Amino acid sequence: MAAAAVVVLPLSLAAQEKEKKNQVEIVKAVGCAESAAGNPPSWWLKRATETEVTRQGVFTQPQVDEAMALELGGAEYQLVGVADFLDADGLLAWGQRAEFTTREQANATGELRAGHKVLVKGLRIEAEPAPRINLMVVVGLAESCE
Amino acid sequence: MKNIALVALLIAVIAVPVLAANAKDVTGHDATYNGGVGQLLLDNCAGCHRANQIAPMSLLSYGETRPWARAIKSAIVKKEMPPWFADPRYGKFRNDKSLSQEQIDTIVAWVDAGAPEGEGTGPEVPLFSAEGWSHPSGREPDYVIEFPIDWHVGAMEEAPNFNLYTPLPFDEEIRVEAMEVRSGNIAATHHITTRLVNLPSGKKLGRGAAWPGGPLTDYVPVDDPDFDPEADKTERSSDAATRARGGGFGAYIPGTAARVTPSGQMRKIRADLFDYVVWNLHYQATGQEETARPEIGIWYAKDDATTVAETMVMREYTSEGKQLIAPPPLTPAERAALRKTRQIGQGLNPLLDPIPPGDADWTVTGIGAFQNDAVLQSLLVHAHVRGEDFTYVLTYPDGREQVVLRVPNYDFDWQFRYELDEPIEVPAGSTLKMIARYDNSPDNPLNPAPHKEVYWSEQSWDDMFLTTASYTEDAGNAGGE
Repeated sequence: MAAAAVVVLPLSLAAQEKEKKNQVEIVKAVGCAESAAGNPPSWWLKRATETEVTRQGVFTQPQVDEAMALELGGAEYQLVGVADFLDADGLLAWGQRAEFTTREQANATGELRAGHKVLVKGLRIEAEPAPRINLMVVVGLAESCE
Repeated sequence: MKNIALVALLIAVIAVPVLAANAKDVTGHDATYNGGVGQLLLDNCAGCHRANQIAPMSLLSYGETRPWARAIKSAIVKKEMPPWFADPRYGKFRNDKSLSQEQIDTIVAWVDAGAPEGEGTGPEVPLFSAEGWSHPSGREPDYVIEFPIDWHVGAMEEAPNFNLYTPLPFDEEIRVEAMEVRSGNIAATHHITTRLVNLPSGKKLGRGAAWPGGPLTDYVPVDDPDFDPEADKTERSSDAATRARGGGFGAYIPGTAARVTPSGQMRKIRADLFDYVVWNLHYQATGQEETARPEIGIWYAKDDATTVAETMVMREYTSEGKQLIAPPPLTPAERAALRKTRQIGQGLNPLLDPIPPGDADWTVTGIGAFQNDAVLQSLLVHAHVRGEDFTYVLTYPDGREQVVLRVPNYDFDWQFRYELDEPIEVPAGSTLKMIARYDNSPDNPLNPAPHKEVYWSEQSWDDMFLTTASYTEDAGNAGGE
C-alpha cells in the first residue's frame, strides 16, 4: 500500500520542551535495618549514610562490594514499599498481597531483616519525623550492623 | 405416522417465526437482531470480526451473523468471547469488551429463539477503515510507513527473530494521536516490534545477512567504507543521553490494535533524535509459503493535544526471592558464547535465570519509579506461553499499596494494553511493581515442553518479561525517558 498523503503539518515541540527537573530523586544509602511494632510494622534505616543520588537500573557487583565496605553513618530514614523485600510471611501480611499470592508463589527476597546491614535504593520523600525511602532495591550486606 | 410427522413439522414451521417475533430476554427486552442484539454484537465484537482483522468471520450484518448464532452463544456462555482477562476486582478499563451477564442472557435468548432478525432496520454499522486499520474512528492513517520489501517465510522455516532497518521519513519531531503496526500476514507473524534508532558509527544500510547464516537482504547495517571518524563527531551520533532515551515506536503482537492516546494527549516521534526505524521481525511457519510486508500507520495529533504520553519500563528486578545484581560486563566473545548456548535474545532479561523444567511457580518482579507527579493511563503485559499471571501494584509515597491490574489467566494470543477507565493520579515518589508468575509445568496446557529449561528471548519457545506502563505528566515535566 502506498503511503497515504500527509495532511497535517507536524509541529515541533522541541522549543517548548523544558529542561526536565525531577520532583523526587532516586537515591541509595547504606544503613542498619530496624523494624518497629505496629500494624503493619514500620521499617527504618538507622545509622545510615547520607543518601546519594543515583539512577534506575540494577546494581552491579562492584557497587555492592563498595557499599559493603562503607562505614555506617548517622542518618535515619523510614522505609516504605517494603513488602517485596520481607520474607514470605511478611509479604503476605501486607496490603492486598494475600488476595493474589500464596506462600509458594510469593517472590519475597527476605533481604530486609532487622539488625542486618543493607544497601537500599529508592525514591527519597521529604517527611517528618524523618525522610522516607520508597524502596526499589534492598541488598543484604551483612547479618549484623557492627 | 407420516401424517403426525407432517403436522409436527407444520406446527414447527408456523411456531418458530411466532416465537421468534416474540423473542424476549430475561429482562423483557426485544431479543432480536434489529431490536438490540445486533448493536451489542457491533459494539463488542465487530472490532475484530470484520474483513482484514484477526477474527475468522465478519459479523457486521444480520446476514453475516445468523449462520454463526449457535457458535456465538457457545463462545459467550463459556466467556471465551469477547476475550478479556483482567480480574474484575481491580480497576475498570475503557477497552473492556467483555459482556455483562444481562448482555449474555440477551444473546442467548436471541439464539434460543431461532436468532430472529426482528422488525425495522438493523443497527448502523460503525465507520471502519476501508484499508483495515483499527483506529476506532474508522479514519485511515495520515501517514503510512511501509516496509519496502516483501519478506518470504518458508513453509517449514524456523527462523530467529531479526532486525532490518529503514530510514525514518521525517526530519523533525512530530506529534501523533495514534499508531498501529500491521503485520501484513497475521498467520505467519509471531510479532513485530519497531524502535527509532541511529546506526552505529561506521555503518550504513546495505546488503547483508538478515541474521548470522540467514538469507541475504537489503536494509541491514554494513560497514561504510567511506566512514570518516573525524567527520562523524556530530551532536546526534555522540549524544549518549539521546541514545539512552530510546525510541519505542510501536508493535504488532496478537490481539493488539491501534494504540490511541486519550483526547488531549499525544505521543512524540523523535525524528529530531533518530534517523532510522528498526523492525524486529519474527515470523513463524504456517505449512505453506508466505510473504509479509508490515507497515506502520500514523495518525497525527490534533492541535489541542498538549499532554505527552510517556512510557515507563521497569528497571529493577527481583526473581525467585533474589535481588538481581549485574555481574561484571561480558566481553563480546563471552556474550557471543552465552548467546549461542543460552539463546539470549536482544539483550532482554539477561539477568534472569532460566525457568527450571516443571516449575509451576517461577516468579519475577519488575519495579519502576515515578519521579514526578503523573497520571497512570494504561498497562501492558507481554510474555510467551509460560506466562501465567501478572499483577501491577502501585506503592504510594506513604507506603499504601493499590493493585491496579491483575491478569490471573494470561493468554499469549490476546495481549491487551489495559487502558484505565479512570486514569490514576500518582504522586511523585511512588513506585510501580509488576509481579509475574510463569508456569513451566505440564499443568500449563499451552506449555509445549515442560521437560525443558526455558531461557529468555523473543523466540516463542523461550519466554519474556516485558512490562510497560503509559503515563502522562505535567507539560512542564514531560521529558520522560
